[in-house]
Amino acid sequence: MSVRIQTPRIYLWIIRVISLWLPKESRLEWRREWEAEIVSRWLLLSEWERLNAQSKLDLFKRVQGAISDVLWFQQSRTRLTLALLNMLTAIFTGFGALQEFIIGGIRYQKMQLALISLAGIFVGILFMTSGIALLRRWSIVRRLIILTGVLSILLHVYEALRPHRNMGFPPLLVGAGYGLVMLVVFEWNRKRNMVS
Amino acid sequence: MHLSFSGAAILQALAHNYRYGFDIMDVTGLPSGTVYPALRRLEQAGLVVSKWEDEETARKDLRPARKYYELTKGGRATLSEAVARYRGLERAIKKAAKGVKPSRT
Repeated sequence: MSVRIQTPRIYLWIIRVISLWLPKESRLEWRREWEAEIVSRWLLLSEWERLNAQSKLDLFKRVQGAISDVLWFQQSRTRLTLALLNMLTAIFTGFGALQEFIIGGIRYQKMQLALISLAGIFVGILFMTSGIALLRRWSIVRRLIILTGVLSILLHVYEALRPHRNMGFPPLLVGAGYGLVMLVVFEWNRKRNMVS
Repeated sequence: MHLSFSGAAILQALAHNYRYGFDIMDVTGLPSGTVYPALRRLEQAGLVVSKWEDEETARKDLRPARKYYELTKGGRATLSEAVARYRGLERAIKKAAKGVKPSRT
């Protein structure tokens, strides 16, 4: 009489598919951990002769939790991406504003340009600081992000408005648009935080 | 680090030698979608460390080697603070509840 050997193959297959969402460098270890847990539990249930529909469903529910686990890694990745984008925006905003300050403010001695470019340099420094704060996980990171985002939006919208019109549509989109995206992504990421 | 209830429960499970992800779920009743991300965060915060168990031991048990988690010194200190906080909360609720009848549902 042949005995049908049951294996947790379907669960391992699900884990393998979910693992594709992970960053490459963490994928192998993550999969190994989950697979070891599933196989060990399966063997234990089999040994205790408790491998029934209910226990299989429980195991399936646990495997579903792997999605939340993967999202945690994504969250770390989002944090890193935000930090790098903040630093990049800091360089663009800061250098643009510095150039404006030197040419418009110092060379042509336009007071409005000098003031607005100084504000731009300040926003650039804020972008850089909040980028470092994200990487170093400073406790004031949220306040810094909100301040940076709001100031960036206000500054870029003001600069694009009449009568001065110091900048065109593309810088407005980058400055104000990224400020808004940064705020939304940061808050969304924070809400997903599970243990803080 | 401010520790949530689930974070404290996981640290408590580790303190009682439940060291594997699935065992922590069994003892705390928390779902895997909470336990694993919490373990990652706790590890990142330096409150727990993860290690792979010895391949030889696992082979003897005819199963794959599992990853286990251990409390660090910082983790033990944080757990003590959290336990004290929750005990304080329990006392405060008991004190506040004296003379207050629960509403009918």
